[in-house]
Amino acid sequence: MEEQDDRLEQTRRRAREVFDASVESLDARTRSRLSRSRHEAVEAANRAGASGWRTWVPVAAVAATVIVAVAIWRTPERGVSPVAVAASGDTALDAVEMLADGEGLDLVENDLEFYEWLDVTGLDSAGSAG
Amino acid sequence: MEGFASLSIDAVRVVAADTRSVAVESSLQQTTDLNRFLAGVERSAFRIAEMAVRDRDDALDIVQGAMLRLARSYGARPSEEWKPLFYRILYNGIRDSQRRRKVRSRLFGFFPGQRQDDDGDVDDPLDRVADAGPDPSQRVIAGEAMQRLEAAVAALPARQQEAFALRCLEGLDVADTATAMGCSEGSVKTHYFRALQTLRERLGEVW
Repeated sequence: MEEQDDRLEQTRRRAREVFDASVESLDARTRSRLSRSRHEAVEAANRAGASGWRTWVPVAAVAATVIVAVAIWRTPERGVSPVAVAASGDTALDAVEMLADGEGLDLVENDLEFYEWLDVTGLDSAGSAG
Repeated sequence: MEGFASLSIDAVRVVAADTRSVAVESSLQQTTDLNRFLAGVERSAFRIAEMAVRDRDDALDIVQGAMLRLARSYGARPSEEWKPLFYRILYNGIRDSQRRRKVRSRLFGFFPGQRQDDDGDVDDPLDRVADAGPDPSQRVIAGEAMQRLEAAVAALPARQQEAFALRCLEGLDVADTATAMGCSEGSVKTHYFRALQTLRERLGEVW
């Protein structure tokens, strides 16, 4: 049994030697053609990889932006109960939102009557809420 | 609120740019690895294909197809998976080529006047370039031994040929050979052992 294993191992080793020698002795034309094929394959992999990230990176960025935007607009203001805001129509919060708005800011700067109106509206709101 | 929103969008843009640069770096590394892998297997893969189909041009086409298929379909997979995948694709190509050749030989059997090897190949100037290979006498000896090996391997059943080529000539382990052949490790061992036994009987006297 051991002798047979030795003979098989000898055959394996000799076959490998002969094969390796034949690989080493490949002619220039064949080596050149193989190199060209390899470069084409690597370029194909590059194109496949590039189209991959060019597709998913912008998609991921847009998705992340949408998630962040939704999270910002849906998150209630800290320290103010959403129930209380809905129930009272909080004047201060309304004013902050108006100021945050570009049009509201113009109104504040240009029209002093606005302050009077705001004052009256604020009193009315406080009165109606209370 | 608006300021916070634009800050968040800027943050998302930075993250996207970072992700893209990481993806590009990773892609470049993968390309380098793939090039190295293919350079390491292309010649032996060609010889294995040539032994199986006994035609140089067909063997070159098979290896080219296998390289492209690996690069396109599996280039993004971990590099340790490439070898068995590559040889699986290679042997699929070999089998397809052998099937096409059978069909072609049957077809041309009806038209005996046609030349089977008339594939319109363009003359390659490299054919006329002197080869800077090993010493010609050594090449003759190696060539004769290789011819005997090729003839003996060609006489083996197809699965034994595959097991012998992958295990002995390409040096794959049993698990990778099983993946490449699409069979169990036990089958690989059986095919390989029988192939070695038969080759020993046929070549033992000469070697």
